[in-house]
Amino acid sequence: MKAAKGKDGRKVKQGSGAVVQSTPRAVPATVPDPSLNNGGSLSPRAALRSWVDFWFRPTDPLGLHAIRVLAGILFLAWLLPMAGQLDGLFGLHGFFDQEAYREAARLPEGARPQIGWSALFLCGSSPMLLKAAYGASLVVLALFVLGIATRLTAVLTWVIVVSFTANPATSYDADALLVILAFYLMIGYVFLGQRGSALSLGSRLLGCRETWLFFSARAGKSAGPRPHSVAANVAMHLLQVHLAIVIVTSGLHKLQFGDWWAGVAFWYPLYPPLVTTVEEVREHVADRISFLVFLSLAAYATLCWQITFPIFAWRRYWRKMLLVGAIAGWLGSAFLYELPLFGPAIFIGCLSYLSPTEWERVCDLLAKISPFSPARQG
Amino acid sequence: MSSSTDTSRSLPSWQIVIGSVAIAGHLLAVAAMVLAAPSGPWPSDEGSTLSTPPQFAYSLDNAVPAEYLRSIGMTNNYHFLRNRPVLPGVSFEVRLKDESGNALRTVKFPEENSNFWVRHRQSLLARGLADDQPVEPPQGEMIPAPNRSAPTAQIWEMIEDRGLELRTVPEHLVPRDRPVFRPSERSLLLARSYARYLCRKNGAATAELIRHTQEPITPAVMFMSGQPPAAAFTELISNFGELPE
Repeated sequence: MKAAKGKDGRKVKQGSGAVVQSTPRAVPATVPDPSLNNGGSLSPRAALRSWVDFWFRPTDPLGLHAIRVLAGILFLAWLLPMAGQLDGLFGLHGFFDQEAYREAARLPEGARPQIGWSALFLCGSSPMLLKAAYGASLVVLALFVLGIATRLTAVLTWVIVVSFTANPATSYDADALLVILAFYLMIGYVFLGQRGSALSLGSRLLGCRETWLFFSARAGKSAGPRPHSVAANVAMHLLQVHLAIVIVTSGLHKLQFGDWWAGVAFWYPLYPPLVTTVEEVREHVADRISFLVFLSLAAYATLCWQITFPIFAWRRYWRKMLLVGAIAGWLGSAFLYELPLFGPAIFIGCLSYLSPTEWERVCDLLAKISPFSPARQG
Repeated sequence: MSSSTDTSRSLPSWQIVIGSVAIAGHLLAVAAMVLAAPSGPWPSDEGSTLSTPPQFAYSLDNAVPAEYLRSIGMTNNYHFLRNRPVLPGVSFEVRLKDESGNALRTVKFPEENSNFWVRHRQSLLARGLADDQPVEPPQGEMIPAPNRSAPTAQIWEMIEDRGLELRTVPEHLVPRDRPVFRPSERSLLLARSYARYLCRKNGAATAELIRHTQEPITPAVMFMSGQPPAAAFTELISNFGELPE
């Protein structure tokens, strides 16, 4: 592992949780991200080394934990509002009922809706069992957020996310992003810490207590540095690469429509049919040119951000572009398109590009502004 | 100390090899699925058509066991519906009736009093009903076999000024003097399923499903010297009829 000198003159390992935790700003800003370390050489040996470095370098799992908490909260926020509509949206006697599944299976392949598996099918047509499964799912998601028995709750969370997004009548694009988050978090937590030889059977099956949300706060400095993990690195990098595929694909797909080229793509969600009248639209006739200039710039900025995403996503220097774009996308998808899940899912995915050092800074910042922080309490 | 030395020391080679194969295989499966999606619609001599995926991606996608991505819940090819700027607005109402044909109640979706998240899911229910497809009239007239009826097709028939009704007509009577559309098989399946659910939930015998759609207002409206024609952006009402059939 490359070594760099910290401000105190000590050699520190890149991304080392121990050093960064004690001297958060000890790592110089110029230290390259290990994930980008290719040595500038294109020889097969260097490529292989870069591949191994990128995927299998043990890293501080702080980013994995942070993404877990945020994604878990998103899963809860997605599932909780459905409480009053369980039968209709998820039941086999709901909007898409058992008969519909049978009919769908008989449709020709091109016309057939995507039907996946769902643990909720085990509930049959019983509303009570469905309610019980829903309640249990909320408990599991809450435990996952809190980091309790993460080895088990990560797998169950993924099962829950896939199960509650399986209904072909109500599933939509952002559901795929939830599955991506849940799947790679599961990969990370199933393998996190498994190489430790001193693990008890319980820890090996359920997960370590170091993943508890408030464990480090309670344990304080005595908890010691977080052990670095290959699993955390693999999970975060799989999430990053998959998200880059999603964003670039979506950007290129947009280029198949003339309205994106014409720069008027955002016009349509601004004036949604069935609720907008021609008179409302024509209120802006006086400033139509400046309005359309603004809309077209916004559309082209979106295309540019999406299509060039892999160029800047892994670079610390462009971090602001990554995060500002993600936040703008969140606001746009929520207020313009009225899509509740898309923005936060993309935003959390973008946060996965933050290095452990950056996460430490975020945690420090949160600790400073928290009303419960020791610094505030004097 | 080189970084690779550190890495190789922390993980045995065989684990690196197995992990690399798994990671590469997984990402290759995802990429193949993305690239194997048909693209378009592109303008062509025959109107707008979808283009076939590149052969390498199609072959690669077929080489991946179909169950793999389905089993992990990753079957989306990320060609998101919302990337299409021009989508019609859709809502639907269901008029529930008892066995005597008396109206019980009418429910509308998306429901105005539902929360944001539920209303969004209900708007997806409505969107599923708006997948109309063009109907090609048969080139010749088919003569049914003895004791058999002529093949039929379901089409949208204009019933009033702006209303459509789903009718079943013999295929040879599909109008040839105008474009004819019908709901997709998927839309019909959804309509029947919604009707069954709402009948069960409300103790109704039948449900008349009515779809409301409206094309979006285009930016060209801003550049018109006068008001656009009154009928240009009006709501289209399409009656799926009484369900279950």
